[in-house]
Parts: sequence; C-alpha cells; structure tokens
Amino acid sequence: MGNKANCVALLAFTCSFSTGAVYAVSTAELEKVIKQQEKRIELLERRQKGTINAVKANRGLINHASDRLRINGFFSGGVAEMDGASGLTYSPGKITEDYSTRSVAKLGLQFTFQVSDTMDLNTQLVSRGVGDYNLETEWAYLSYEYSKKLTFRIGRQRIPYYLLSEYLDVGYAYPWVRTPMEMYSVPVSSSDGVGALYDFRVGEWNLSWQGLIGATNGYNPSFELDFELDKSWSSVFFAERGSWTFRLGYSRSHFKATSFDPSGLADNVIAGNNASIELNNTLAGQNSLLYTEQTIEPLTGSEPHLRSRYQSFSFSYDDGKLLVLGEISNLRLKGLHFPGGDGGYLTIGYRFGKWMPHATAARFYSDSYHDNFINAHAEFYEAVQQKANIALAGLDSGIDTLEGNIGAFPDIQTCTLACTADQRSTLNSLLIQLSGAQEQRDNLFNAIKGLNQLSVNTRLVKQQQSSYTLGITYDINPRVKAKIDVAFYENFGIEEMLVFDESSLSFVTQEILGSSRFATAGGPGSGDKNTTIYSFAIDAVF
Amino acid sequence: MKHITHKIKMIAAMGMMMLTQFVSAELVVIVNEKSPIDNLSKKEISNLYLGKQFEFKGAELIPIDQIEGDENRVLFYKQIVGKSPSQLTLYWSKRVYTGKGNPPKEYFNDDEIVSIVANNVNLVGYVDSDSVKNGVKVIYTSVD
Repeated sequence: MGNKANCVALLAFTCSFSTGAVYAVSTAELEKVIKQQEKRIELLERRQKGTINAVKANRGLINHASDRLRINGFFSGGVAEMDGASGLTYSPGKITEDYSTRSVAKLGLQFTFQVSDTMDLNTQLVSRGVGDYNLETEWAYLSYEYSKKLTFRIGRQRIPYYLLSEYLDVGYAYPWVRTPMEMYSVPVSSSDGVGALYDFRVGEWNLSWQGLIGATNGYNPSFELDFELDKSWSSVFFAERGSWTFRLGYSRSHFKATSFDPSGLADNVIAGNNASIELNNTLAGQNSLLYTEQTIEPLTGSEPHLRSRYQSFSFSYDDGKLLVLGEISNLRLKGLHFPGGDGGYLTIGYRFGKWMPHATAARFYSDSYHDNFINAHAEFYEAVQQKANIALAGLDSGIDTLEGNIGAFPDIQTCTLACTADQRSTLNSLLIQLSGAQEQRDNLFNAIKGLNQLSVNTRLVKQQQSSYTLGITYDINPRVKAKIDVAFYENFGIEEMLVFDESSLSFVTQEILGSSRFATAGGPGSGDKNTTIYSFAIDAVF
Repeated sequence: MKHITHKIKMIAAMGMMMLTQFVSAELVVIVNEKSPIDNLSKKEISNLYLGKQFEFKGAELIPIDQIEGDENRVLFYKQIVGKSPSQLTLYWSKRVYTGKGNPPKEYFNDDEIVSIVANNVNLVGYVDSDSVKNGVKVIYTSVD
C-alpha cells in the first residue's frame, strides 16, 4: 500500500510542472485511471481482510485441538529385485530374484499430542511390507520437558544404535532405497524404558547426550530364534557444528533366547553342541589326533552370561551440495555362536539441483572375537568326530571278528537241527552281540555325519561381505523423492574345513564359499560368489 | 523543449517508482517492540529457525513461519538459512522423527504474522518490509 501512495504523490508532483495541454490531458487521464485502480485494490483488500477474518474465526474454533495434536507421516513404495539365478536371497529385506514391492513398502504415522506445556505424548505406527504389513508401534512414549535442555521419555522408543536409528523407516531422510545392510542389521529397533535427552551448547557446537534404560524382545531371522534383551542401556553423544555431525554410541544388554524355531539354525546348533559334549564323554578313552584337547560349555541360549554390546561411531557432512555419511560399528554377543563383528559404510553424494547422484562402499566381517569362539567350537566338534571315527574303526573290526566267529558256525536254521545246545547258545549270543555292535556302529556313523554337518554349519556362521552401491535421487517436489539404486555385493570369503567322506570313512579338506548376509537356497556354501540388487522407490513425508 | 524536460521528469519519476517497488521487496525479521532483542545475526536467525537455539542474550525467542509454498518463505530460507524447500523438508523430517523438535508454526500472511508478533513478546517472524506496523520492530534486514 505504502508504495502505491508514493507513486500517486510522485505523479501529482510531475504533473504540477506540466504546462502542455496534451500532457495535461494525458496525466489527468492517467490519474483518473490510477484512482479507479486504487479503489478496486481497496475493494479487493477489504474482501481479502473479510476472508482472513473469516478464516481466523474458523481457525479459532479448531486452534485449540489442532495446536495440541500434530500428525506427521511418511511413505515408501517401489520395487526391488535381486540378480537372477544367484541362488541367494536377502530374507530380512524379503528380496529375492523375483521383483518384490513389499521389500520397499512402508507407511508410517506419527502423532504428537501435547498433554500440557511440558508434556507430549508421542506415537509412531509403522506398517512395513517386510513385516507383512502388520501395524507396529515403534514409538509410544510420554515426553516430559524438565527444562529447555533436559527432556525425559517414558515408554516405547527407538534404541539409538545408529546415526539413522530414529528415522530408519523414513526413506525420505536418507539417500539409498534401504540402509546399508552391512551396518543396519540389528534385528530390534525399539525398546520399552526410560530415556533422557540433554541438549547444550558450547560455543558454536550443539551438543546432546541421550541415555536409555529398557528392555525389549525380537526375532533373529538368520538364527531362527526369539530373544529378549533386558537390563539394556544405551548412551549416545552427539555433536553438531555447521555442516558437521558426529555421533558416538554405546549399548549393553543381557541376551536371552526365549524360543527356537524347531530344527532352525539355533535349535540345531544348540542341540548338536550339547550332543557333541555327551558323545565326547562316552568316548573318553579316545584321543583326537587333530587338536589338543579342549572343552566347551553346554549351551541353552539363555545362560545368564550371554551379554551383547554394541558400539558405533558416525559422522555426516552436509553443506547443501556435498553429502558425506560414514558409520562404523561393532556388535558383540558373548557366549553363543554368532556372526558379531565390524560393519560400516561410507557414502558420498553431490546435489545438482533436484538430482543427487551418490556412491557407497560398505563392508561387514565377523571379528576375531566371534571367529575364535566359532572356530574353537568347530574344532571341538571336529575333534569329537575324529575320536568317533577311531571308535567307529574299532567297532568295525569288532564286527569283523564277530562275523568271523559266526562264520565258523553253520547258519542259524541248520544249527537249530545240527548243533549242540551249547553251540546254539554261543551262536545266539554272538548274533545278539553282532546286532548290538551293528546298531552301535550305525548310531556312531550317524553321529559323525551329524557332527560333521554341525562343524561345517558352525564354521559358516562367520560372515563377511563387501558392497558397492550407486544411486540417484530426484526431488519430485519438496515432499516427494524418487530413488534408484544398484548395489553389488561380493567378497563372501572362503572357509577351509574338514568334510566327512562317507565312502572312505575319512575326512577330506574342502574349500567352501563363506557366508554373507544372504541366505543360500541350496544349503551352506551354495549360491553365487556375488550378486546385485536393483531398487526403485518413491519416498514421501507429509 | 519544455515537453522534452517534462518527458525526462516523467521517466525519472517512473524510475523512482520502480526503485520504490524494488526496495520494498526486501524481507525483514521482526520481533515485538518490547522485546529486549534489537538485532540478531544471520547465523542466529538461521539457528532459531532450524530449532537449534532459542535463547539469545538471555531472552527466549519462538520463531513463526510463513505458510509452505509462500514465495517469501522460499526466499527467506534460501537467503538466511541456505536451504531449498526440499532440503528444509529433509532437515525437519530428521528432527521430527528423532523427536527433537518441530518446525515453526505457520501463518497465512504478513498481516497475521505482524499482528501475532505485536501481541507476544517472545515471537519472531519475517515479513515484507512494507508490512511492518506499530507494535513490532525490525531486528534484521535481508540484503540480496
């Protein structure tokens, strides 16, 4: 309004200097037109004000409720497909060689209800294709703002394992279609408990500390067991300055297996482990030629000494153009065959307007702590197999002797008529001994085969892989993004191990393809040495 | 000759009109006139609008925003915060989903923002410099 009034004033000023009739007419006309325009503008402004007032009045009615309830949401949809005929699948992500939409599909709703000036109730409900679209409560906590700096949370909340922990499901917030599986692999994401957030500033640094004490439970799909984590605590330290963010996290927990899938991996390993100890005791007279004698503990999966520990370091740099993300972590589970170890990735992206191409290198390997635990157990099973094999040879020669002794008699029918009573009773007892020895031998033979399978599977609990991902994101609008990723996985390693050869009754050394995060359809060691996952997604936040 | 002089004056006047309009397109950051804050740096305003800092010189400030899609809003975040609308969404989705804060509350237009800031000593808003009225004071003027 102000400048329009100025214009008119200026025009009037110019006009007063005018003496020419032609210009006088034209300026007079101009002034008239402007005055008319001004009237129209005034009218429109009055109307606009009327509308604003009406809107304000309406908002006044809903303000009370809408100010107290905030709803946010996120969505991901798309497809993913794994390289055909590789014989591998990625079960946690439900990715196979057939294209699948459920590996990408996600819908989340977050409600924040302001209970009072200092209290909020936060709920986040997420439905994921990989979770069969069941609605899961990721957040359900009451947050209490003790001061501007200190906030407490009580209830179900995210366990701060990773840099992206809190928005794991919000695809919009990260560049890839899915978070790198080498790093983002802990099969629980939320915990029930009490948390605290403390924010403070030191100079140019925004610092915060987050603590959480709680308990949770989950399912490990590669181990095929349900578990409980209790007496858990996490401590995370964040530092932010300009384009930089640094994060240091530490979590500890008691781990307890609550149930095993019948004949699942954990079930088999634990049963096999304990059977091997029993067999070792019955073979106490034998000596293994393979290894110096060692002992292992029976496993139940819920011993009090099972502890898990997770530590991670992350950083990110984002200046609006250049994006760099990096994380490293170590997961340790004490007292169970488990592929714990080091995982991490480095991502670099660069924004060209609405486009952002990015590249990621990631790596995971089970570390020496877990490898040593796994190897020690595998060596024990192999040693027991060796002993059993020696016992088997003994049983075989015993059977040979028995058969030789029995051969000195006529067969049992003939003997019934032709032999003396003493001879008959001797033959009978020899035959009983023989069938006993044969049964014993068969049992031992099966035990050796089972133990061999166990030691092979145990060695293959160790995992490693590397991956390289190229992707691009495109901002369709400020709330919707499209993404394409191509991720190449390789470097699964080679495991050298002893495999029992049934025909020669001996052990032969074999090299078997090592395990990765991928499941092999054709059993241990099968599948390709590498694979590729192609993904496409549309991510939105609202 | 007189005609020519007149013409020149007309052109000069038109030029000034254009200049006035041009200058009027600047954005100003405003607070309540009773606020103890008289000025903030670009960095401080950026921190305030990104929810990183609320206390300035002992005073608590609460930012309020123009509605999403507003041209001045796009300009403000580009010039002062250095974020495009997409980057702003990304930033807030991370904050919202970490439970670490929500974006500033949005209002429909300059008039609404000016009248609300004039009524609350803690509020900070940004509007077109032409919209500034009694009850508020300018603490930052954006220069293109």
